[in-house]
Order: sequence, then C-alpha cells, then structure tokens
Amino acid sequence: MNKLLKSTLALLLVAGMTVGCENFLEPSVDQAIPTETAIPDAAALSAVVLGAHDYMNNTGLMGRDFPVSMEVMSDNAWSNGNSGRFIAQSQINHTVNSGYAIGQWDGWYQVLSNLNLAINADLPSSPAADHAKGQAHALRALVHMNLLMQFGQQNVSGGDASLGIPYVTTYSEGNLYPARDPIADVWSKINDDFATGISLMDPSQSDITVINYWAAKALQTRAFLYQENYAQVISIAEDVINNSGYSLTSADDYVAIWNGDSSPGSMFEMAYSESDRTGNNSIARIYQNTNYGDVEVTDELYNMHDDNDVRKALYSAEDEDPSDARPLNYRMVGKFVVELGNDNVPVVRFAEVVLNYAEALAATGNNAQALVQINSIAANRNAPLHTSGSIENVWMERRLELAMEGHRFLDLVRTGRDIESVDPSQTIVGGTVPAGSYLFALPIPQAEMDANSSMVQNSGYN
Amino acid sequence: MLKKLQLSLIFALLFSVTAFAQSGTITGTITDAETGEPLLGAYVFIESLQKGAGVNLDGEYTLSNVPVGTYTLTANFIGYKTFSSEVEVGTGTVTLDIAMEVDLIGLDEVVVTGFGTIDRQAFTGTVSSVSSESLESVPVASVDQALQGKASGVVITSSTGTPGATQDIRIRGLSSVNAGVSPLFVIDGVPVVNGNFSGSGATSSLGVLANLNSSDIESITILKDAASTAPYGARGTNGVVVITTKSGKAGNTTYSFSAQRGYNNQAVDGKEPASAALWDELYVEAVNNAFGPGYVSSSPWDGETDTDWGDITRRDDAVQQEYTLSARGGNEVTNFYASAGFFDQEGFVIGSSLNRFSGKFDISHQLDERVKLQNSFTGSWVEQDGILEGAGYFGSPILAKFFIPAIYSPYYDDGSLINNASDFGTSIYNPLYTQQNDIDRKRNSRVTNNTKLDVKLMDNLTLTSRFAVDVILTEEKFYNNRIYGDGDDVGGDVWDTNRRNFNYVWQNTLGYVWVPDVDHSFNFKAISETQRNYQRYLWGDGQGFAADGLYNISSTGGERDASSTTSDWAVQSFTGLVNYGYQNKLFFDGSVRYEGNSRFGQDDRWGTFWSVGVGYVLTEEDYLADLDWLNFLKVRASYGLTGNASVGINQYQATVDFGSYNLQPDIQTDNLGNNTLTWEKANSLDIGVEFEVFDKVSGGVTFFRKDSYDLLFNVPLSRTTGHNAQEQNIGELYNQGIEAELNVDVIRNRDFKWNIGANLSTLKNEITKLPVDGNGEVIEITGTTQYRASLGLPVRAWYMREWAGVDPANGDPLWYMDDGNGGRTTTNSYNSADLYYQNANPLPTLFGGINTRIDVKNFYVSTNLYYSFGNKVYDSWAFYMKSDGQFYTAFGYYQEQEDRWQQPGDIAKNPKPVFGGNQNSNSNSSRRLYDGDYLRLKTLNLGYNVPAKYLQNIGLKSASVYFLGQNLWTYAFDDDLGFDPEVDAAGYLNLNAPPLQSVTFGVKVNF
Repeated sequence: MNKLLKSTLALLLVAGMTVGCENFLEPSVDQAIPTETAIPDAAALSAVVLGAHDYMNNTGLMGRDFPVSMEVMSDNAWSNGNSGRFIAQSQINHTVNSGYAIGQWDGWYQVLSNLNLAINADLPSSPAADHAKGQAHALRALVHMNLLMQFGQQNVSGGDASLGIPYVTTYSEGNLYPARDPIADVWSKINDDFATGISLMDPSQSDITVINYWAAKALQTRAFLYQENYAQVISIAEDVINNSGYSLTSADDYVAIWNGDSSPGSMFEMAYSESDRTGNNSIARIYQNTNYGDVEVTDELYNMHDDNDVRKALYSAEDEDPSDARPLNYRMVGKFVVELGNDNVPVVRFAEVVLNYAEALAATGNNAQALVQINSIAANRNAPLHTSGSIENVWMERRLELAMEGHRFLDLVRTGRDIESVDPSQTIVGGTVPAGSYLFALPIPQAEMDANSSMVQNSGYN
Repeated sequence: MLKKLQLSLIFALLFSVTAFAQSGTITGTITDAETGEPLLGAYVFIESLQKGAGVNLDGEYTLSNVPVGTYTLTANFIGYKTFSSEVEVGTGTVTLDIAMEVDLIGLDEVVVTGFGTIDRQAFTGTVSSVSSESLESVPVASVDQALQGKASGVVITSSTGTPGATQDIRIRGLSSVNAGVSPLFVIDGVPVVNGNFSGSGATSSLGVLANLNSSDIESITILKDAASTAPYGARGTNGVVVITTKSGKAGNTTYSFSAQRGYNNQAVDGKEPASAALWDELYVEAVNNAFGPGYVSSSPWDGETDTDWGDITRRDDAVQQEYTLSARGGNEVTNFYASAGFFDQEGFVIGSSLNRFSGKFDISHQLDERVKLQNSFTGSWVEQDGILEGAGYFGSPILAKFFIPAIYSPYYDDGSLINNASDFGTSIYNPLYTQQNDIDRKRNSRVTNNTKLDVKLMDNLTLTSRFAVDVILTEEKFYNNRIYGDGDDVGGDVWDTNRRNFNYVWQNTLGYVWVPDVDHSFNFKAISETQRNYQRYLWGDGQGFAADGLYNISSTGGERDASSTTSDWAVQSFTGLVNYGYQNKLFFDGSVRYEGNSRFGQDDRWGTFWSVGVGYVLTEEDYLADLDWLNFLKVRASYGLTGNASVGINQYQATVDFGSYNLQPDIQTDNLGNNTLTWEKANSLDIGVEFEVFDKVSGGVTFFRKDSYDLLFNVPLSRTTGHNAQEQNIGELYNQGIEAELNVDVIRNRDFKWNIGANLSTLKNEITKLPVDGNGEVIEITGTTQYRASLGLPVRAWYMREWAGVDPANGDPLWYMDDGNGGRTTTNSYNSADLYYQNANPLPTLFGGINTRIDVKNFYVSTNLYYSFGNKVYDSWAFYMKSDGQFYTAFGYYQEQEDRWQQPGDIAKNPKPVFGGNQNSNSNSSRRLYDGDYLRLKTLNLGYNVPAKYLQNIGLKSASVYFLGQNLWTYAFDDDLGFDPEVDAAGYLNLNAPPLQSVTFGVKVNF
C-alpha cells in the first residue's frame, strides 16, 4: 500500500515538474489577432478602412466634438456651461492640457494609424483592393487637412508661419517621433493623396456612409479653397456639379430630410447605427434643451434668417429660463434630432461644393457667376435672393446653409476675420479674438511635447 | 448544553481510537501556577505517541490507553509557557498535576514565510507579522484594511469608504513606474488572484479580499526583503502578503461565538459646500465682473431654499454588524476547524452597503505514520450595493454635496421627490430619486479548495503536494429607472454582467533535512509550481421597460446588446531553497527560482531569480552570553534579484481588434506590441539588526535599498503613431529607506501590564534612468497632467504650474514663471507660467504607528496611532468647486470661496469671480495641492476578559466584551486641505465615499 502510494506520488511529482512545456505558457489571444496576419485579402482590407470610419465617428471627432467645437469657437454659438461642456472652446481659451486639443490630436492620428495599415497592406491589385486603398488615400488627405487647419500656424501671426503638422504615411515603422512638416509640404501631400484616392476608387460605389469617389472630389474642392487655389476649385466643382448626379434639395424637402437619418445632398456622412450611436454624448443632446444642452445659437445667427427661409424652421426660440435676463434662447434642433445620437453626421454635402465654387468665383472676380450659384441655394431655401455676388454675400449664404455643421470657425480664420462676441451671453476671452491671434491654432498637447523632442510648440503656449 | 450538542452535530467529526494491550492512564489537573484557577482549553500531548487530550470543565485531563513506558508530556495554553515533563507510565493510573506559568514575553517564535515556517532566530529576511488577535476584533469588510499602521514599511490607504472597496497596498514604496505596484497575496501557501473584479470602472470597486472573513485568519505576514520574496520570483518585487488561515488544533473542541455591532460615520467631514446665500453672492459678483457693474442684481435663487446636499445624501450612524461561530478541535489523528460568519455594513453615503456570508471547513487526517492529508474549503458570498464613485458621474450621491448648488431643493412643494430634469435647476440628477430607484449591485461568490498531501518518504525526506482551486463568480447589475435619470431617454435600461474567474495552482515540494553533526544543519526544498488562470466575461444590456419593478433584460422591449470576452494567463516555476545553520548562531539562506510567464514573448518568457541571506545571532557567542542585560542580538543581511511581471495580458503581441461601423464588422489597430518585452527586475539589499535588552525592550532596525531596472515602462510615443505608448523594458529607479520597530514592556506583572510599541519607516524614491526618444533626448513622462517622471525626481513627482496667489490690485490669479535671469516672477497668463516640481509625491516619506496597551487585571485598553508625513495630495475636483465662475450657474462651490477678491487692495485667497472664469484660475496648478501630513487614531480598544471562575458554572471557557473605536480622531496639518488626508496611493482627492469612523461593541465567548 505504502509503496504504491509512494511511487504514485513520485510519478505525480515528475509529471508536475515536466508540465513546463512551452504550450502551457502560450497565452490565448481571443479578442484580437496578430497585426502581421490581419489583412490576408481585400475583404479584410475593406474592414480596415471601415475601422478608420469607426474611429472617425467617435464622440471626440465627427460624433460631436469636432463639428460642435468649430461652431462654438465662433460667432454662431456659445456654451452656457449647463453640464460643464464646451466652455473652453466657447471662450476660445486653450492650454496645453485642453481636453479638446488632446482629443483632436490623438483622435485624428489614431484614424491615420488604421488608414496607413490599409494603404501599406501587401496585397495584389484587384478592383476591390484598389477601391479600398483609394478610400484610405482620400481619407488620409481629409484627416491631415483637419489636423492642419486646427494645429498649423497658417492663421497665426508672430510665430513660425511655416509650421504644419507631421504628415504620417506609415504604421508601426519608420520614424516614431516625427517633426512638423512645413505647411506647403502638407498641402502638397494632401493634394497627392486626394488625387491618388480618386484615381483608385470605383465611381460606381455610391454608399455615402463611407468615403466615395464623388465625396472625395467634393472634399478636394474644400482643400483647394482652403489653399486659395481657386482655379482648381472651379474646375473640380464644375465636374461635381455637372457629372455627379447630385443636385440641390428643394425647399419643400429640406427640413424633412434633416429630420431623417441623413441630410440634404449628403455626399459622405458618418453613420450612427444602433451599435455605434453616441448615446448621451450626442450632438443633439448638446444642442437641444436637455440635461446637457450646453450649446446655444447666437441671436445674430438666428436673426440673419428671413422668416420665409425654411432653414429658420431648424431652430427653436424659447425663453427657457424666465428668471434670467435673456429674452429668448435659440437652439439648433432640426439638423440633429435624436438625443441618443442616431443622426448621421454630414462630412460633405453637395451644397458645400456649390458654395466652394461660388467663393472661388467671387474671389477671382467672377461675381456674376458667384451670384448665380448662391442664389441657386437661396432659391431652394425660400430665402431672399441676393443682388450681388460679392464675397460677403457668398460668406453669408455659406454661414446660413452650413450653420452648426462644423464650418464656421475655419471659415472665419482662413479668411483672416476676427472672432467677435456677437451675443450678450458669449464669454469669448477679451470679447474679440483678433485675426492672427495665437489662439487660432490649438496647442500641441503636453503629452506630445514630452514624448517627442522633435515637436515644436505653437506660438503663445508654454 | 443543547446548543453544544447541536454544534457537535453540525460539525460532525471522525475520531479514531487505537487501543494497546499493556497500557495505563495519566491524569491530573492543569491550573494557573499563581492563582490555582483551572485553565480551560489547555491541552496535553505526548509527541512520540501522537497522543493528546484536553481538559474538562474542572480543569482535569485524562490520557488513557498509554502503553507502558516513559514519555515526555507537554502542556500548552495560549499565553502560558509550554510545560514539559517526563512521566513514567505503568499499568495503573499516574497522576501528574500541572501548574503553568504565564508567558510574560510572548514574542513570535516562528516566522511564516509562505513556504513554511522558520524560527525567528534563524530567519535572515525582513517581515512584518500581524497576529489573529489584532485582526479578530477589528470589524472590516476587507482584511487588508486592518493592517494599516501595524507593519513598518507598508502603506495602506483606502481611497473610498464604500464597504468592500479595494485598498491600495504599497510595500516599501513604488518599485515601478507603469507596471503594477500591488503585492502578491499568498493564502495558505498558494498565490491567489487579487483586486477588483468589477466590470464597471465607474462604480464602486469590490475587492475579492472582501470575501475573506477576518476571524478565519490565523496570521498575516508581510514579506519585504529579497531573501523572503525571491522565492516568489517574478511576483515578489512589490512584496508578498502571506495569509495563513485557521486550521484544526488537537484538544477538546472549543466553540467560539462572537458578535459585534457598530455605527459608522464619516471620519472627516470634508469641505463645506457653499451656502445658498454665498452662491447667490458669487453669482451676482461674477456676472457683474464679466458684463459690467449692475448687469444683474440677483441670481436664480428664490431667497429661501438652502439645501445641505451633504446632509441628505448621507446616513448618520450607519450600522455594521458581524457574527461568527466557529469550532476547533481534534485529536492526534484528526483535527478540524469549522466556521460560519455573517458581516453586514452600511456605508455612510446613501446607497452603499455590503454584506457577506462565509463558511470554512478545514480538516486534516493522519492516514498513517507517514501520510497526512489536509483539506481546506471556504465558500463565501458578498453583496455590495455600490454607487457611481468619483465626481465624474452625475449619478453620484457624493458629487451632489458639492455640485448641486444649495439654492435647489430635491423636493416638489408637496414634499415628493423631484423626478423631472426640467423641474430641477441643474443638469445633475436628483440623487435622492436615483438612489431610491436605480440599482448598482455587485455580488462575488468565491469558493476555494486547498488539498494538501504530506508524505514522509524517509525520516528526513518529505514530499508535499498541494492542489488549490479558486473560483470567483462576479455578477453585477446596473439598472437605471425609466422615469428619471440616465435611463429616462430609453425607458429605463439594465446592464447585467457576469465574470467567471477560475484559477488553479499545483505545487509539489520535496523537503530534505540533513544534520551531519551537532554543529551543522541543512534544510533543502525543491518546489515546482504551475498556475493557470481563465477568465470569461459576459454582459448583456437592454432598454425600455413597460413598467416599474422590472430589472431583467428579458423584460426589455427596446434595443439589446451583448458581449463576451475570454482571457488566460499562466505562470510556471521551479524553486530551490536552502537554509543552513551553524551552532544555532550563524545562518545562511539561499534561493533560486526559474520562472516562466505567459505575459512575455517566447524568447523572453523565462527568467532566473535568486537571493542569499545571512544571519548572525551574536548573543549565542560566549563573550556576549555573559551580559545579563542583553537578551538577544542578531545582525542580518540579504541580497537578491526579484522580478515584476505586472503588465497586461497579451501586451507583447502586436494586434488588431474588431469593432463595428454601421453594423458591419471592422478591423482597428489595437496594440503596437513589443516582442522583446520581458521581466522588470529589482536588486534588493537589506541590512538589519534585532535586539532584546533588559527582558523588556525589543526592537529592530532595517535599512533597505531596492534598485529596479529594465522597468516595464509605457514609453510615451508621439501620438502621431496612433498609440499613446509602447510597453518597453527601459528605465531605472531605486527605493530606499529605514524601518525601525521598538517594543517596550514598561511594566509586566500579573495584574498590571503596560506595553508601548512604535514603528517608523522612511522612504525615498528616485528615478535614475528614463527612456530616450529618436533624438536621444530623455522622455519625461506626464502620466497625468499633474505628475511627471523626471530624472532625479520620485516616480510620481507632483509637477505643475505653481500658484502665486491673488493679485491684490485686480484680483487676477497669479502663477510663477522664470524671469530669464535665474529668478522667478509672477504672471497672470496661465499659458506663460512655468511648471515646477512641487517637492513631493503622493506617497509619504515618513510614516508608521505608535501603539500602547495597558492591562489591569482583566481590563485592557489599547490604541494605535498612525502617522504619515511628507506627501502631497491633489484636489482633482476643485477645478469645479474653486472655479471662480468658470461654470456659470452650473455647479456649486466650496464655502471657502467666501474669501475672494472684491476690490483693489483685498488680500484674498481666491481670485475675483468672473462669469466664464478668471483666466484659467482653476486649471491645474499647486493652488489645489495640499500637504498630506496627518495623525490618526486608527483604533481605540477597551475590553474586559471575564475571569474563568465566573464562567465555569455556565459552561463557558472564556468570555470577553470590548469596545472598539476606529478613526476616532484625525488631525491634518494643512488647514486648507479640509478633506480626509487618507487618499488613494495615487494622491488624488476624488470625491469618493469618505473613509469611515466607527464605534463597535462586541462580545466573544469560547465554550
């Protein structure tokens, strides 16, 4: 008995000591797969491109913070601080620890990591693979443009006016601590990426919840407008207007389409399905009178609308708190309707292409044609027609049409205008931020400055 | 007696009796040598026969069927010196009356190391031990709470007073920057999983240690130096907490019953929220300062409402109670311990509570003279009613105290609770309504089974095989009602989670004792250990309830979602240990461990760790033995290499993961990976001396230095990579300090004893090497915006803009900046201000405890005073409460904002309030950093042990009653701090549930 027991135990011990084979210590990877084998085929490549869209539709980017901040940092809107959100942007008050600057910097570069993973995937050319890579190139251009417009020094006087942003084209290889590229180089790479993307994409793929051929061209007109390359804007806009099949939505349909998931003349929009809607952090919850409800529209923007203008119906005007001095509170309630964030968020709409076209025409002295273009929009909104195609009228129509979609800040600063408090409730630091202020570029976040000694801080921030 | 009978039935036992042909009987009484009182619970034992017996109620024992011969009989009783005598047994009855002497010294004779026990004299390492007596009477939800101030070199802080929440334990400082810094827990010889198993980071944590009943613990030992932690190899760097639970003891069965009931309050009240009147004043001033004098004359205040939100969200005198019942006994063949316990504690904040049911059954059986089997089984069930903690959540009742201005009321005019966002002045939900109607509940069920087989292969060769399983099931329910709160948009929602953790350890030990001659002795051990952990996490949620009172997903009619994830890890090791003793005065220890861990890549998976230790008992030398006053003197030193593997699972692998965009699956970059990831290592040096003089003063001093290298660093990357950081083995730092303990038996006689003890620890931490970036420049690490890791500074150096007060001329906030000439000047521009090291980090540099105990006859009083100096703590949420107007009308203020600038010339603590904020006055700066120095009366214990003579008639062996006060007094040295100075190890005041002050009454009887 004893002997048997002993030998059994001895065997157990030996067994215990030899379980140490490598398999025992090999961990499972159950929810992820190794990056090196992640893209075996065009379907996976397409999924990586979708993953970039997934990053883009986060609350920190297109899901809320980017479009809303671009409005709050302007004369279109302000934050009442009801839930403590968008206050710094509303005051145009940034520091190196500003949550908004960190979110934009980290967020857009995270999108780029996915795009570069797709673009550098080692797959043979096929229609599906080419289309996916074309999408990735076009998005890479768009993402860099969003970064450059916010962090570049092009609108700031007194600093190094050439400082752009790092243009990143690889994932997990190359220089992991890049320096800032000059603004001109960044634009040139953006232009190349748009061109490459458009050449690779299949024009017949028309799903507007992902980047597509015509949307890329529409965004190209925006990029060239930002670069003040008006000839390119005109030529590409004419291509889009004549050949894309899109047209301006009529006044009768305009509000109703906004009420649905999509938006009028939407060419590319971020989709928000049940599984990726923004929930409590939706644009609607911030714009509407909810328990967040921080972002209100200035009386100037509201009062610019003619009473017959169908766009005025997108706003609410109520005295929300009779005890305060403000007679009416104005809110954008018609473009983003569902509090849980099911509304798709437009990235580019056809009307913007028309406006980009009109602005390029006006800037190059073709005011008569510019007038035709802005009146085509006004007419389809039941708004009074303009009598001149002046650049000011183009800007006014642009402000009315694209209001609260995330354009106003960039439209003001790229055209060298001040940002003024136009509403008694606005608390912009100093009342007005003059053209050229250091505040017109976001600070490079402290974490980036600490990690990357090649990075140069924007002027005015320590 | 009936009760006793029932208990006997409940704890059914197996006795086996062996009879011998030629035998006799030993009998006698066991009494106190001085008083002659019988010692109930004493036990006699004949080692060579493995035979023993306890005493009956008259103090008499009987050992029958003793084979004829001469034996050494020993008698043991807690608190008395062991009695030993030769006895000759014939065929008749021998009477041996035993008078036992009180043991006045009572030093721990052995050290529990987790791999066994060792004589304190022979031990070369550094440990701190806490005995069961000092744990038993302290009612805590989680045993680690009871350790604070009792062990030198150990900082234990609770970030929250929510019952059952995890504690931060830091042994000898922070030995890592980014990898885990929590110690390894070893229970009954096997490493166990620890920490929080909650799926939600937003709500209260629930540590799995809360499943342990502190009455079931025999001792806790904290291993600190290399000699004692190196056998735990890669998991030893952060120290090891060895918990030994109670097991059976030979002797008459002793039943113990204890009951306690107590009341909890907040230990420190915290800052006062602004009154309605102050809030109104600040509002008017802020608006007029922003838009011009006379712009407004009143705020939205109705002039009457003045709600104390702190008052209505707390539960004064929250009740806590604990009842335990246990039985312990056995004979020479079979011993057992069985217990059942119930613990129930209400938190101080409405909506928080914890209750626990636990049971333990431990049995050992000597199969024959060579084989012994032991099995220990515990089962427990903990339910925690938690809250949304930290101020970030509008659902938090603690947030309400400060965030909801006093001008708002939680009630409608008719007295019912406001339950509509538009009727409540602020965007925060009415906490009274949500706490009544929402659910935040966690339940942990834990079952552990530890089976041990000891086989004496030869007289000096033993094999021990141990197999332990640990199953933890955590289920959580988060329910938001459909009427009002986070769930009102979707008609109510519920989130149910289920986490199952299965862990097993198989450990085989071969022990060999070799004593070549009387001068030399060797003790060898070879240990193999494999451990594997599997976890599965499953959750589902649903929205839209048709009616109130429905809490399950099956009742939802709206959207539903679900997810499951699985993960595993494994550790395998081979360890060799040797102890060598020479003439009982010179001792050497050595250990080597070869360990593999699944957290690292294939080529770097295995590591070798080792230690050596030496101890020299000088008082064993003849030339010192003559000194009467010197009872004991030992010097010891150890040096070794330990490791730290506390990095996330799968960190070394470059991976992509999967998401969803517009209902289509997508692929996203996930982890950058690093195939060369390997162990973080630390070289530890420990030098110490231990002494006892004049039979009454004992103590020790230890110096330690721990040099960590190949640090597991989350090396910050340029965010342009799409990742924040990559885990790399880069960087070096050290911790060093002195730990001293002194214990004085001022008076020690039978009726009056007075003991004073103190321990002191110092700690210094410095980074000596940091990663460099592509340009060869050192990367300084801003883990958060308040910390920075810099060369020459502690790991978590507070590093921020430095507050320079308020400009008397205009009420502007001021900060310091370099003036360009090596000096400093002030600026009102936040973006121009420079960042400075604030000469502190979140961990104290000097801390310890002072305790004293006085026994007068059967009364005793003991206290423990904890002190902690040298750290600073940061008030995260003062961003809001000291916003100087930045948040318009949204939130409240501290009452201290009353001291603000109003007109030129004012010397004020707070700047001019401005609607929309005064130039980032509330942004991160030392304005919100406070000294963390404090004193705290951790425990005050008053008790009475009922003399045995009163108990005999009612069938009791012993009885005691006691009063225990915890955290009765706290003194913070920084007047401006206002909050409880005990904050989590990270140093943040996060508006968590405050630590508790409790008073407890208890009674304990043995029968």
